[in-house]
Amino acid sequence: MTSDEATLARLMCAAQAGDALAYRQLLGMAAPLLMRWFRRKVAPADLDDLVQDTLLAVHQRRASWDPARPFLPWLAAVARYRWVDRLRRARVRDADALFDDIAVESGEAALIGRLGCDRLLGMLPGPQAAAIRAVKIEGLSVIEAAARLGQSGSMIKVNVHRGLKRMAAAVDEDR
Amino acid sequence: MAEFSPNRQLEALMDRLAADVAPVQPLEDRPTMLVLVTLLLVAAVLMLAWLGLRPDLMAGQPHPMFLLRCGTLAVLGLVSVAAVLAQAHPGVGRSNAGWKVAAAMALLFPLSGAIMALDQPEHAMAMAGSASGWECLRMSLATAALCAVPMVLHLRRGAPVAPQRAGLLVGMAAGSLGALSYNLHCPYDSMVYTGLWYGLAVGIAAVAGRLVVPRLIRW
Repeated sequence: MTSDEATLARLMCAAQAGDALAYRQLLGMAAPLLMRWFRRKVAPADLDDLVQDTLLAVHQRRASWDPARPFLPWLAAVARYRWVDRLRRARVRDADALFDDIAVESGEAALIGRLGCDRLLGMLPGPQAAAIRAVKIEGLSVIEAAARLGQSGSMIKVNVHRGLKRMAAAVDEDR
Repeated sequence: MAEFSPNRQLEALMDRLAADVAPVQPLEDRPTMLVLVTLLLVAAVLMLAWLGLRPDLMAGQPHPMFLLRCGTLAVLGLVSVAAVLAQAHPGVGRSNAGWKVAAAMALLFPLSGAIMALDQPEHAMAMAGSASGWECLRMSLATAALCAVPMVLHLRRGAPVAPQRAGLLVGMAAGSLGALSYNLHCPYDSMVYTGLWYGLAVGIAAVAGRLVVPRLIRW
């Protein structure tokens, strides 16, 4: 079964009505989507945690999905919200973390891609996005990030702060 | 999604969540809307019973300023309430910015008031010092606080992904509704008075909402 909008919406409808089987199926389809949205958007060690966090949020807030509206944009908004929250809390960590590529089949690639975290990060001005990537995702220290990006240390901090603020305000936007 | 093999921990979580799934009623806007309308009506009736209706309304000949003020506050209130309720159901690409237009239109009042004040400084000072202005502010903000409650409760049951925007909207919506109800009593028709005191009422409510509400609705 493919994770297209119509299937997911139908499963979520059943889940709201209390159908555990449909709900389990929905979660099983949502997890790889989330993995894909979060891939390279969070330190590799945090990826699993973030997916679990988001699934929990989906669970707790499942009444906030309006069955009259599409499901994927709702899931994406919840996911982006959790992601930005995670980045804000992320501390500087090891610089030599490696990224693990997760192969995900691209079904409705265009639509799904438009909803993901890539797009949100892409809305930021270049220096802000680069600073967030370096410090909050790859885990460089401010000094290392400054050296790599050619921004001063204080600029890195300012750019991370402003960028995160901007993303938090634009979680549900799609330009 | 064939190549994807999630880890055992994730599978276990999904099993647990599925086992735990109880039926939920999708969050609806209508009940909150009804509560708000009822609150507003009760507040207006109390206000009128206590303070009385404007003289021109008693006479059945409403002043143009009253009509314009009513209309602007009603539109701003309605549009912001709709925006608040929508914030509870997030969705990427669904941000509606209609409230910005409504707010810009409403800003014409303080703006015109300020221009008039430059032209008639004595009148402006009298309006700014008016004791009734403080009453206007107090009553509007008290009603606003009341109107904010159902909106905050609605957002707490929903999933607002932009808490600061939602907070600002709650403040603006509640402030407009509060001012709208006081407006039925307020006997002043001066542009300066309206721009200043109504502008303050909605502005203060919006700032308060922006500062206080995000803490109440974060998840």
